[in-house]
Amino acid sequence: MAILEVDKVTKRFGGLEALRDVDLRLESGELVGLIGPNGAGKSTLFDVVSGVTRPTSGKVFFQGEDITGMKPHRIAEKGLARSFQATRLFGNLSVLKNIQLACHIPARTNIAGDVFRLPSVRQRESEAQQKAIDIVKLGGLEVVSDELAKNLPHGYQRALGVAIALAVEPKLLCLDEPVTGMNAEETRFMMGFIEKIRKEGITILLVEHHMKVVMDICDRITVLNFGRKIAEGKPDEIQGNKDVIEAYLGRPEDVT
Amino acid sequence: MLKIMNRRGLNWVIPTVIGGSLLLALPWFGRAYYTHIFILIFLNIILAMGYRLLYVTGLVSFCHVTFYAIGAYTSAILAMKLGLPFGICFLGGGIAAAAAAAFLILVTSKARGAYFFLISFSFLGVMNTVFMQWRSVTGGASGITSIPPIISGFDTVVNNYYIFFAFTILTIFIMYLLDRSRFGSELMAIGEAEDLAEVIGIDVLRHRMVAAAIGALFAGFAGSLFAHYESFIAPTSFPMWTTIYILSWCVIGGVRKFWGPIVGAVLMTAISEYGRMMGAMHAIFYAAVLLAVIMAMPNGIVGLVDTLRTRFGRRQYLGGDTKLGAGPPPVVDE
Repeated sequence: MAILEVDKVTKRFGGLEALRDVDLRLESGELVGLIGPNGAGKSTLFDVVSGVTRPTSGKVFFQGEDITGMKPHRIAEKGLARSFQATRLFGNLSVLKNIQLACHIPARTNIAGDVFRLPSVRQRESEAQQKAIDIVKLGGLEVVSDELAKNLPHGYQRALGVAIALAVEPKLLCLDEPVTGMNAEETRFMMGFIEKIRKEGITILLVEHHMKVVMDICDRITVLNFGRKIAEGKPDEIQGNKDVIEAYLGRPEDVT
Repeated sequence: MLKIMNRRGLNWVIPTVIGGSLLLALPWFGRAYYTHIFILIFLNIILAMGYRLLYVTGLVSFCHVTFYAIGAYTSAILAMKLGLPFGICFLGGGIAAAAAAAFLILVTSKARGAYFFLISFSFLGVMNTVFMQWRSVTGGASGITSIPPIISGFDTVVNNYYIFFAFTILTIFIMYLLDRSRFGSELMAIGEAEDLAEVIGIDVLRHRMVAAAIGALFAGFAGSLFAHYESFIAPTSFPMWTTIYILSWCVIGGVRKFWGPIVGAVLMTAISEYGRMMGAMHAIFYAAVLLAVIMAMPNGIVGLVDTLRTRFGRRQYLGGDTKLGAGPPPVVDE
C-alpha cells in the first residue's frame, strides 16, 4: 500500500500557480527525492502534505486516509513529520528539551493531569526524556544537548531540526533541504544520519538541491518545474533525462 | 525531612521561611497604609502571572485588565443583585473572566502581532462601554457601592491582608506547577516557533485558549477579591493603562522566567507607590526605572540572574564526542 498518495494537487496563490495537477506516490520504506529549480513548488508541496496550507484542488492520502485540509497537529499525530527549509527551532530551549517536546504524541494526557503531575504523567515524561536522549545520540548531538538551540552552529541546528521531526515517531518523514549551507564534512554526517533514520524503517521524502546527495541516497526521484511534474524515475534515469537537463540548464538555442 | 536538609534544600528553605515570617508579621508592625500597599502588590502579582501565560505563546494583549474588571463586576453583581455568598461570587467572577478570554482567543484565532493587540484593545473598549452604559446592572459611571466584604464581621485590613496573602501563595503554587509541566513548556514552544509547534503535534489554538482562560481565571479571582475588599467598583477602578503596567512588570522582571513577573510586580508597585510622594515627577521616575532596566537587562532582572548562573555555574553534558561541526561546544550567550 502506498504510504503517501498525492492526487492531482493544484495550489494557486492569487494568480500564481505554485502547483498544477501534481501526483506523487511513496511506497512504505522508500526514500524518494523531490528536486527542481528554485520556485518549482517543492516547499509548497511540503506545506500541502503537512497541512500548513490547503490545496486549491486535489487530495492527499496518508496510509489510505484522506488528510486534505487537516490541521498540521492532527496530521503529525497520524505519523507524518516534517522539517523546515529555513531553520526552525525552539531557540530559547535546550537541545534536549526541543526534542523532548516532540516526543509526546503517542501518549497525550489532559492538561490538568499534566499540571498536577499524576503518576502516569511522570512515567510518560521519564519515557519521553529517555527517548529524547536516544534521539540526541542518534543525531550526534550529545555534546550540545544542554545548549540553547539558538546558540548552536548551523550544522548542529540543521541536525536538530531533523531530530525534532524524528521525535514525532513518524512513519513518513519529509525533509526540506537538510544539507543547505553545510560544508562537506557536515553534509557527509547528515547523509549518515538520514541513512540511520531509513534503517529504522521510516519512509522519507527528501527535498534537496545538493545533487550528489540526492543521486547517492534516493531510490526514486521526482522532478518539479514551474509547479508541474516533469520527470520521475531512478537516479540514473533522471540524470540523463532531457527535460530535466533543460529545466536546470536551459535549451542549447537559448544560450546562443 | 533529612532530604530537605541537604545544601540545595537549605538554599531554598531558609529564605522562604524568613521571607514568609516577615510577610506574616508585617501587618503587626507596619502602618495600615503599608498593609494596603502589600495587598495591591499581591493583586499585581496575580495579574502579572496570568498575563505571562498568554504572552509566552506570542500573543501580547491589551485587555488583561478587562478580565480583572469582568471578575470584579460579575462577583459584585452576583452579591448585590442575587445576594449570593462570597464563595459563589468569587467562583462566578473567575469563570466569567475565563470564558470571556477563551472566547476572545477563539474568535481571533487567525490574528497575530499588531492585529491581535488591536482586537484585544477593541474588546477592552466594548467592555468599558458595557460597564459605563448598562446602568441598571453595572451602575454606570458611579459604579457599584457597598459590596459586602469577603467575610462579614472579619473586615479589617489586617484580616484581608491574610486572605490576599494566602490566595497569592496558592496562585504562585499552581502557576509554578503549570510552568514546570509539559503544558508550560509547550506554551513556550508556541511562542518560539508556532509553525514548528504545530507540526510536532501541538494544538496551538487549544493551548492558547487554555492559557488565556487560566490567566483570566486568576485575574477574575483577583478582581472579585478586589471588589469585596474595596467594597466599591466603577469603570475608573480599571483604567486601561493597567495592562501596560502589567506588561511593564513582566518585561522588567523577565517574562520568559517564572519568577520574572513576580519580581517585576513587587519592585515596580513599590517604586510606583514610593514615587507618589514625588507628585508630578512620579511618572517620569517610573519611566526612568523602566528604561534603565530594559537597557541594562534585556532579559529582565530574573533573566540576568539566570544568565549569570549559567555562565558561572557547572554545566553537564550527556557525553560523547563531537561528530558534527568542528571545535569545542559553543558558549551560551544570552
